[in-house]
Amino acid sequence: MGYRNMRRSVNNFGIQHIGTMLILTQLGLTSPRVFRFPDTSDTVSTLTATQTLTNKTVDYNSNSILNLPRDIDVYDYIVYFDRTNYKAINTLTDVVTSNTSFSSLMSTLNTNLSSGGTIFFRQGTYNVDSPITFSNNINLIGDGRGQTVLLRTTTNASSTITHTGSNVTIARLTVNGNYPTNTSNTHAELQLSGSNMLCTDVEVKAFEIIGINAGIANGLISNCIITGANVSNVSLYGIWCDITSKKTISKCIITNCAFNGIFAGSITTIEDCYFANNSSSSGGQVAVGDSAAMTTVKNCVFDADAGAGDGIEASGQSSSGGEWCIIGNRISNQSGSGIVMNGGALINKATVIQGNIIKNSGAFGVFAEGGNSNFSIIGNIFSDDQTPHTQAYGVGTGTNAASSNYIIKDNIFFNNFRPRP
Amino acid sequence: VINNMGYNPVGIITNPFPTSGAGNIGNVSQSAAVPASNTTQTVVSTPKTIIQTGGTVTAVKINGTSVATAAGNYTFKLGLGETYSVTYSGAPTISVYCE
Repeated sequence: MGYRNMRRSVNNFGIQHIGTMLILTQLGLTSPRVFRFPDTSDTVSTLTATQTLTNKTVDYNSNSILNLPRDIDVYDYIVYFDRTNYKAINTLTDVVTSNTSFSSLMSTLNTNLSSGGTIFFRQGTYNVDSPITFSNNINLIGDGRGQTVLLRTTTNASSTITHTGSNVTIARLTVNGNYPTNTSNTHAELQLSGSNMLCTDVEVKAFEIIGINAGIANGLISNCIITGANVSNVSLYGIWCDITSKKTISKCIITNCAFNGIFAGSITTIEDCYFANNSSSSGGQVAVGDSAAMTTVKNCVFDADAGAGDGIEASGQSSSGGEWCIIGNRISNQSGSGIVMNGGALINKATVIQGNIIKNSGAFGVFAEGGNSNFSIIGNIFSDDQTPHTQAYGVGTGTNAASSNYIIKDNIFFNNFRPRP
Repeated sequence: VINNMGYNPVGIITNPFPTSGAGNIGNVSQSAAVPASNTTQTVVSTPKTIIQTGGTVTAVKINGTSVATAAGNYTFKLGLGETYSVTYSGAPTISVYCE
């Protein structure tokens, strides 16, 4: 790997500078690896490495660029745009592959990395001129949100980028759906269909239908910013993850989606996220799909929706759904209710609503009518500090026996227009 | 539904019973101050304190078990799911307090 590339790679290590020495502490190693930057006094072509570098070569290449051991290099390809061609440097061989089509170049790299690997995208905008599919276990690492931008330009209706690999990371980049300039997408900007995937520090914006379609089993989506177009019936879902189970969505900011910020499936944990201005056309800022069970929403903030929804639609949409835990959230100024539990045929199996602040809703703090059963609402604060008050009830359970098998205790109700559970 | 500041205690409920037949004793008013004679009324929503006085009464049952066979001054504290019935030819006076 060339020195120019090493400067980027070292960000993945603990770094300590001592004079011209660079100490790299690779994750998982107890001893640091020590390298010395070359300087003008060097007269030899081979540097001496210490400690754990047995049988690994540290030297200069033919261009007097420092080469580091292969296992230090976390990138297999470094991709950049030279204003004419998209290029990929093989960091092991220094061979450069070039293509005027970014999507074609990615197809080539996917083929070359049939056993998996890592592609690093330098700062720049990359036009996705046809849908890209990564079918191998390839990590996609950018140079930062807003710095590495994958811009949809294809007119194909398919998802902009599809990744079906497993045990991979997608990080530090922006996927721009390019709406309204581009109106061809009927799927997702980022289609994740593998397993054990980490999607972190990713921005998705200006998407027409779905920001991230997380059909992931055992996936983690964290530190992402997902921003819809804020147009009626456009950018329907920030994250759609209704297909497979066992996902965690953490520390994400999701706004301006016409339907749901997150449309979740079974065994989904949503934590420490921020939602606002979603649900302009329908739905809750968080909702779940058919038969979804075991959804947890905790420590999130829900600011005002876009006028047609609720904070959380805590409903299994069939008789087998439910088992929600809604804990420690602040839900304010929803046009509908803070939390809705659909009853009747959509009855929940079990729901725990605990320790939330729910205020200034247009309807109920918690709507639990319609035959809901098996829920507890404990230790919440239901309030309305507007003039006039709009939160009609803190909790609605219907008249007398409309709901059954529930506990509502140790809550505080104040200034609800009609503070009656 | 207990111990909710701003809601509990709910207090006295006027007309806490349905006009006829078995029913629930909830937290909102229904249509009758006294249940139909010898009908089972089930406590829902919050625990209730039922105070029964006077009338021409021949039976009072809590959870199906007879607790009185004549008129008198009675106070019953019932939890969720517990039942109350009174059999009478002359209606007693009944007050229902919700916790």
